[in-house]
Amino acid sequence: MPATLRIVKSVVVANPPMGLHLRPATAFAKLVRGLKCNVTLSHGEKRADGRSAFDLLGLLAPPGTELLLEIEGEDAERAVEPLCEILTGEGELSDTPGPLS
Amino acid sequence: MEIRRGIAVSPGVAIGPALVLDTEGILIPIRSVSTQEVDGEVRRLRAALAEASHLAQEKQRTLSAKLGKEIADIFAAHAGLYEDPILVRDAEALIRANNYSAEYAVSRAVRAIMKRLDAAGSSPLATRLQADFVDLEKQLLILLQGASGQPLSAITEPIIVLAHDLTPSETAILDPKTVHALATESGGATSHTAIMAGALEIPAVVGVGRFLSDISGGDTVIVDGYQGLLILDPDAETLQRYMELRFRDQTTSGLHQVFQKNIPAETKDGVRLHLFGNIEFPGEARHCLDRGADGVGLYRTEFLYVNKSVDPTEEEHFQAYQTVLKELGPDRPVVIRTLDLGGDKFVGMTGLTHHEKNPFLGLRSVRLCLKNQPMFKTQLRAILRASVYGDLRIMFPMVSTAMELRQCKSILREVQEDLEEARIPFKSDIPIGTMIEVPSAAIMADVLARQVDFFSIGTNDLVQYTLAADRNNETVADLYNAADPSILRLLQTVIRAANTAEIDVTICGEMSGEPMYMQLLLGLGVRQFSATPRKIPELKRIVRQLCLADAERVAHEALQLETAREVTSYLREQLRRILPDAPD
Repeated sequence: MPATLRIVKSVVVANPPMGLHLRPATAFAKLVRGLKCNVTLSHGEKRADGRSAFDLLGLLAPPGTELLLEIEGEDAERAVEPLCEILTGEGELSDTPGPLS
Repeated sequence: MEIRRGIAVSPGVAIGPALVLDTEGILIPIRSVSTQEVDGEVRRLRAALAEASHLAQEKQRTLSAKLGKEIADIFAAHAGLYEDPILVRDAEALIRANNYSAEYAVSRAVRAIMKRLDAAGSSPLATRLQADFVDLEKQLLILLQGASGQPLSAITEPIIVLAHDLTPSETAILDPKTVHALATESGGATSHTAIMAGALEIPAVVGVGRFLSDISGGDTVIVDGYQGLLILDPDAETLQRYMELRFRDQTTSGLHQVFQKNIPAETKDGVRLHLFGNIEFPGEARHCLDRGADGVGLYRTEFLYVNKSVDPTEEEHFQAYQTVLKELGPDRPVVIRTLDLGGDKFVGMTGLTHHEKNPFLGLRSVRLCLKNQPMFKTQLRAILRASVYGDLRIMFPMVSTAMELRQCKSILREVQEDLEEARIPFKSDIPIGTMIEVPSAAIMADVLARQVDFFSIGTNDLVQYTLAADRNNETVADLYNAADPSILRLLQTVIRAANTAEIDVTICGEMSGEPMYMQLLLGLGVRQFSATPRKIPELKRIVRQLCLADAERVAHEALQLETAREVTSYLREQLRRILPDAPD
């Protein structure tokens, strides 16, 4: 039985200009729901369950916000990179205001 | 008659009966169910969530064909939210613990999440999310109530939709065939409503402030999406004026567009003119191309500042500019106008918080940029960085003296040096231009011409400043007239100065979208016009009927006239000679 893995990592949100908004949050939650691990994101005292986009959105993290990512469980190791990638995305044109979206 | 001012977010004019949407949205009575019904409510809840998710995915599919994948993806994200474990858990818990109905539980659960956003204070992100959550709640309630469909999808008669605010879903199902315009009390130029209205090309004005209590459904209203006006109970004269405007709009679209797109804007005697589009949002670049524009003659960059509590970042500027340049490609120029904030534009923004007694004669536009150099430099850096993606040109607005122009250029040089030092690529030979829209600049045009590569004449401000008349002030609005002989003389001075110095001169104010002025301007020596993209096909049609020699005669004659009224009637007569079906 492999020891349960626990990874704690600090991540700075990108996804300009809105940060952790609707699309990255739903993508993040969807990914977590398909993994065998518990994921928590926290911003100061606010903690969000990684499986819930609602919870994640409640963190209100614009670009530049430093979040603490905690992953615990079987899939922890392979989860880190894709999860961080979502948070530090370059943002899409579609995330900027204006008919870019 | 009552004229209300808002933010013009989608151009066009519409006249019609008002459809007033409930200010409160859908009201949910507090309702509890008996203990035996609880399981049934939970089932209803789950079914509604599944259905909502399914509908959102469907909407995503249909909208991606209609509006492109990026807008449609908003609904893919919505679909994800309906499956959110916390929403499901919380709503179910509310039903089980309190015997709530599914409707009430949904409403409570969503509002609890919104409250958390509220508590964190306002930010662009929070505002955006609030709108999405309101939408989400509404969708679920409609499904749960088995409502007889949304009011907006049941419209069959042409109407103008008036509402406090519209959710993205509501705006997205609007059919331009029946919904001829939108006006909302709240909202800003970057709200989803504004974006969707623009993409659907439905004239729209948002941020009008409270007006719903002053109007009942069925009243005739006018929405002027060019000037951002909502006119309640219009008088006969105003109605007439807007009916003409609307007629002209309609004739410009449709047939002409298809027919004119791929032929050059050339006069009968072979003079090639350039017709550019004025844009505000990057998405409008496509509208320019669709209508066969030769480029973007005026890219207003203020939209980046609307609804923002903090200044946009260099990256936000850059992304927007890069998008437009890539869309236009290497052969079509894109003239980016640096920030023109102040006056009537977004007063109360960063750096504009102090009160001015006379904002139009105050710290606006390039004056504000010169006072707030970090802001100015951020934009210039982004513009320079974007220059490698196409044929970019920089233009400074509201320049009133040669000194200001020198300052702008020296700041631009500083930014160029910074970029060189940081080894960030940019084009070193970007053409630099100035707007001519202050009478002092027009008078000094020969001097200014030596400092720049092109002029762009902004007739709106030039007319207002020359005649000292605010066109939004009804009592003096009749003085505001581009046909005034004083304006013709100033135009002649500026165009001559440009032609003598062999630099380009473009007309980019509303005057250039007016068919009546085409001959005059051509005759005065203008070869480039920049107007709202949707005007381009009609302008091209007119250009192809013009003759340089005739136009020069028309310009010469017009300059002899003494009043705006004489000029107008003369130019109309001349237009009718070449286009017998031209509107009065």
